[in-house]
Amino acid sequence: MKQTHPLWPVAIIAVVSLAGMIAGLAGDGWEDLAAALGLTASVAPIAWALRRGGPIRR
Amino acid sequence: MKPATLRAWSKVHTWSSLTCTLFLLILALTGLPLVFHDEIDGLAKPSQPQRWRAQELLPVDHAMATALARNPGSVPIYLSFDEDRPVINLTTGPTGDAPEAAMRFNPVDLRTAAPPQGDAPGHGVMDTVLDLHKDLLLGKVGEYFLGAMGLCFAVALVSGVVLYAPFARKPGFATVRRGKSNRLRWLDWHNVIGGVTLAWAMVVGLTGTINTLADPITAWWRGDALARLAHDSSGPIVPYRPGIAALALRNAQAAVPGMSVQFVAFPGAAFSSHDHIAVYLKGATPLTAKLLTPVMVDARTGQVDGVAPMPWYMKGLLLAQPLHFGDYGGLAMKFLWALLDLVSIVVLGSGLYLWLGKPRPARKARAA
Repeated sequence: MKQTHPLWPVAIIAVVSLAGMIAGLAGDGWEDLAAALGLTASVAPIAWALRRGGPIRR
Repeated sequence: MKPATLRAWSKVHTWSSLTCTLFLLILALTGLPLVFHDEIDGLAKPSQPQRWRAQELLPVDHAMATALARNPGSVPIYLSFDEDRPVINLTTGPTGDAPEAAMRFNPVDLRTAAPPQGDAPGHGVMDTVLDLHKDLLLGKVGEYFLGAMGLCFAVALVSGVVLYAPFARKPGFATVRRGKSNRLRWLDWHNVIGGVTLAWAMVVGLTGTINTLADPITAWWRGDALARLAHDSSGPIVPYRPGIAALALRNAQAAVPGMSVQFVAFPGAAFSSHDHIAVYLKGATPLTAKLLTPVMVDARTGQVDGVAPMPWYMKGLLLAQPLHFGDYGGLAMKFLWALLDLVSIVVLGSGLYLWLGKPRPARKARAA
């Protein structure tokens, strides 16, 4: 099975986060929500890592 | 990746990070309260929203005349309008092209033609925090230095991602290896947080660098697009004539309907020419309100002489400010921005810890 590049998740989070930040500049309605969601995409994996803990998966 | 290439990237990451870490820690700590500057200012100066009727306000020229009368021998340089109260802010000086140090700031209440009640003079705590964040209290030198640190930060981020790639495969995404050594655990946290906050950190770092270049970018625009728009004669500065400000405001707004006035630059000011009153208009939407359109009004006749949108590099500069401070998307965004600021402190601290705790076989061997 072909292994995906390890940086894919980082790239996806970066694109979502950046799109949210730029969308937020354009308005005060759904754009603010998009900005908040985009930034949440950056913060959520940290909460996930904190919650998951445990030993390394092999 | 070849071991030699990996070592080279590792060196780039180590030294670009070490160069800027201390300064980035200062910026992250001072940037945290600045995210909430509106709320903190509101706590320091609680004020009820003011209501007023347009009919009860004095004409702008009348209010300007009273401010100029309080500063004999002065001329107007800039004029701006408060959004939450009927107050104009007139900047005056001995000449239209006076340096910043010689300028005087005169707020005037349009209901009374007197300075507004309850305005505390002097420098507040948040102003000092902003100065520290902007230039480390070192003026222009500090500002450009921090701009260079922003570039170092961008290099550290790129090299960090390059280094992370070969090591991310084994533990998996967002995995922190518990039960291993402290050093390994902190390395994982450093990589996880650095990776997922990459876009935010890059935006904040690069917009910070752009903001430190505001003066040279603005100077370039003045010599380029603004000079072309103004067709400046380079003759003497046209003197201010009472009544011309209101006429200029009226004609500028009529030339570009649907926009409101952000500020006015009088003849001789850096944002105007010797012959013009430059009226800077902002749009009605959240995006266009952040961008400015200059309208050049002939300072002798009050007629509009030219209108042009800002060039791309000035638009970039104007948008870099909200993108750096994250204060444009409501309170939820501010909290997330502050959270990202805090986790960036963890990345900086863990990076320093990893470097300090790094085994140095060569040094040990030399000592032996």
